[in-house]
Amino acid sequence: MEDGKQVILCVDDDPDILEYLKVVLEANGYAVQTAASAEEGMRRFRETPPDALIVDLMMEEIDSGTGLVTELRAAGNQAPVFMLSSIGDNLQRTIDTSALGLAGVFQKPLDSEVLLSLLKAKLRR
Amino acid sequence: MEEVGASCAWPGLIPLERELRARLAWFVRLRWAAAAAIAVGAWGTARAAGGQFAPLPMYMVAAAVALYNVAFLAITGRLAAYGPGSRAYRGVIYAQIGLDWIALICLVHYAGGVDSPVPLAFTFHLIIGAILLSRIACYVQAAIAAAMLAVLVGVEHAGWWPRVQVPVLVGSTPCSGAGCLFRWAVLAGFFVVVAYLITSITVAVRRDEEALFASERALQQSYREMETLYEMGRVVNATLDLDQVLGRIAENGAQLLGVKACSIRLLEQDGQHLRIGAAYGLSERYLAKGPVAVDRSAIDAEALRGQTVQIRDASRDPRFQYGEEARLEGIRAVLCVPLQAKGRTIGSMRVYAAEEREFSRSEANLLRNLANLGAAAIENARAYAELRALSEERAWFARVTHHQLRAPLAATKSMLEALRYAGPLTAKQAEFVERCGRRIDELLRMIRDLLDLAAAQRPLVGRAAEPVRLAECLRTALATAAEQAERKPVALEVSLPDTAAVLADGDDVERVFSNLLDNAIKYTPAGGRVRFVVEEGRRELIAVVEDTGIGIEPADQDRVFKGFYRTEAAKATGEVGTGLGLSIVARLVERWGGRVELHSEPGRGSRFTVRLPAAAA
Repeated sequence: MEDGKQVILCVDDDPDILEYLKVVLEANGYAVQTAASAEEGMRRFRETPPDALIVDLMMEEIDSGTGLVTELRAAGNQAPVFMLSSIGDNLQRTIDTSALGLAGVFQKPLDSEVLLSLLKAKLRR
Repeated sequence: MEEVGASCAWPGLIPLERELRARLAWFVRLRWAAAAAIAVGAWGTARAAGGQFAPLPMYMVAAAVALYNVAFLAITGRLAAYGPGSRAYRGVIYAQIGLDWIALICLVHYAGGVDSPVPLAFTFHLIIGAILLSRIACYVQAAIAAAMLAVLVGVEHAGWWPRVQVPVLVGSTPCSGAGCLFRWAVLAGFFVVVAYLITSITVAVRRDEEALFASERALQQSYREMETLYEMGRVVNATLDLDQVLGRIAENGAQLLGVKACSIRLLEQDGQHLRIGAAYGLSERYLAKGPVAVDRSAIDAEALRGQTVQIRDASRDPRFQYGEEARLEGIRAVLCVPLQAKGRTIGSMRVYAAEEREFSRSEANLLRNLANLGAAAIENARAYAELRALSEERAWFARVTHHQLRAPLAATKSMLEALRYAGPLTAKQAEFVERCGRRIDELLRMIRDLLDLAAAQRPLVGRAAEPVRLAECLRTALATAAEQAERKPVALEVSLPDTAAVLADGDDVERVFSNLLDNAIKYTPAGGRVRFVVEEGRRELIAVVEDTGIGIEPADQDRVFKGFYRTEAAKATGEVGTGLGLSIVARLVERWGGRVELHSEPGRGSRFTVRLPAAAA
C-alpha cells in the first residue's frame, strides 16, 4: 500500500509497455512501480513490497522473466504475479504457469479491460 | 582350398571328385555282385561242362572276395575322417585293386588261362583306377595287369601251376605257347589303349570341372561381397546415426576379409591428426594408445594421398606409428585404404590380420568399396547435421523475427489503448484510434500466419511424430472456440472420444483444429451450427469440422488451400482474415502424412475432413 493505493510492480524492458501500464493502472487507482530489468525489479520488490506484480516473460532473452518469478518466490513473495507474453499462443506450451504459481498471463498487445478485471479480481482481498 | 558347402564330407573337392569318392563305396557294393557273379558263373560253367569242370576253386575265390569285401566295407565307413588325398585313402584303394587282381588272376587261371574271356575284367579296374587315382597310376595298373598275366602264362606253361582245361570257355584246343604269347600281347595292348582313352577323358573332364569349380567359387565369393556391400549400402541409407553406421562397416570389413580387426579413422579439422571413428576387434588399450599424427604415420599419410597401403608385419615396419603396441595387440599384417567422398579424402580405413600375410588385389578392392560406403555414410550424416543446424537456425530466426515484429506493434497497440486513459478524445479521434487498432490487429495476424506458414513449410528435421491425444491437446482451442461460438451465437457440438490420438506434433495439431474451428465459427451466421466430430479408425483418425455457414463456391475450393486467397463471400461477412489459415492447415496435416478434404455448398455450409495417422491409444 502506498497512500492507501495498492502497489503494482511492473517489470518490462519495453519502456512503451511500462508507460502504458503506468497510465492505465494509475488512471484506475493503483500506484505503479516500474523496473526495466529483472535485477531492477528485484531491487524495487525489496524496497517496496508490491500488492501485485506484472512481469514480462521475454526480457533481453527468452525466459529471463521466469527466472525473476522463481527468484521472487524464493524471496518469499506472496503477492500475485501476472506474466506478460509476447510469444503469443505458444506461451502455455513453453512455460508451466502452475509450476511458477502465476496468477494469470496477459497477451501483448494488452487489452486494458481484461487486464483491469483480472487484476481487480485477484486483489479483492 | 576353401569351403564350398557344409554338407560336403570332404570340403574343397571339385564336384567330379566328390562324386568319384562316393564311387568308392559303390566299388565295394559292386564287389558283392562280382562275388555272386563268380559263384553263379562257376556253377553255370560246371553245369554246361557236365563234369569236365570243377567249380570248387572258383567258389573259394568268390568266398575270398566276399570275405575281404566285408573288411573293406568296415574300413570305407571309417575313411570319411581322412581326406581323399591322404595315404590311408589311397592305400585302401590300392589294397582293393591288389586283392581284386589276385582274385582275378586266380579266376583267369581256373577259367582256362588267357584264352578265356576273364582277363577282360582287368579293364574294369583300369577304369575305376583312372577315376579314383591318377593318370600315371592308371598306366602303372595296366602294366601290372599285363605283367601279372605274363607271369601267369609263364607259370602255367612251365607247369608250376598246371593249366586248367575248361573247353566250355576256351574251346577244345587251348592255345599253344606262341598262341598264348600272342593273346597276352593283344590283351596288354588292349589295356594300354583302354588306359590311354580313359585317362584322356577323365583328365580333360577333371580340368574342365576344376576351371568351372574355380569360377563358381569366385562367383560365390563375389556374390558374398556384393551382398555385404548391398547390405552396407542399405544400412548407410537407412540411418543417419554416424556411429552406428561406421560400427557396422568396421565389423563387416573385418568379417568379410576374414581378419582380426578393422578400424575407421577420420581426419581432424587440423588435417594433421586422425581420430578413431569406429573400430571392431581392437582392445580399449590399443585404441587409447594416443593420437595418430599424419606426419608420423606414413601409412595413413599414403592412404590420405589416395594410395592403398600394405604392411606385412606392423611391429617391424617403420611406416607404422605404434609398432610395439601393434605387436602387443597381436597385429601383424595391415591393409589401409583412403576414405574418399566427393573427391575429398576424409580419413582412412584399415584391416588388421593376426598373421603375417599379403592381401590380394580383390581384397584391397573390396576394402576400398567398403571405405567408399563409409565415406558416403559420413558425408550423409554430416549433411544431415548441417541441415539440422540450419533448420534450428531458421526456427530461431523465425522466433526472434516474430518477437521483434510483434513487440513494437504490441506496444503501439497498447499505447493506443492507453490514449483514452491519458485524457478525453473527440469522437473523431476515438474513431481513428479504433481504426488504427484494427489495422494493427490485422498486421499482427498477418505476421503470425506468415511465420506459421513458413514454419509449416520447413522440413521436419529432427522432429519425430509422437502420439498426441486430441482431448488434451485441444483443450484450450476448444475452450476458445466455445467462447467464440457463445459470443456469436453459434451452436458448437463436440464429439471427441477421450482415447482419440494421432501421430504428429501437438503444436501443429492444435494449430490445425483451432484454425478450422475459428473459420467455421467465423463464417457461420448467428444461429447456425458448428460440429466437431472425431472418429477413430484402425489406421487413421478422421476429424470432421462441419458448419452451416456461407460455404465455398466449387471454383474456389482448391484455391482456398493455396494461400493469400479469401472468397468474395468471406470478405463480405466483414470478418477479418489473412487468407493463409487453410493453407497452413493443409501443409501441417500433409507434413504428418495426413490429408484434408473439403465438401462445401455455397450458402449451406462446409465440411472439412482431416485424416491423420492414428496413434495407438
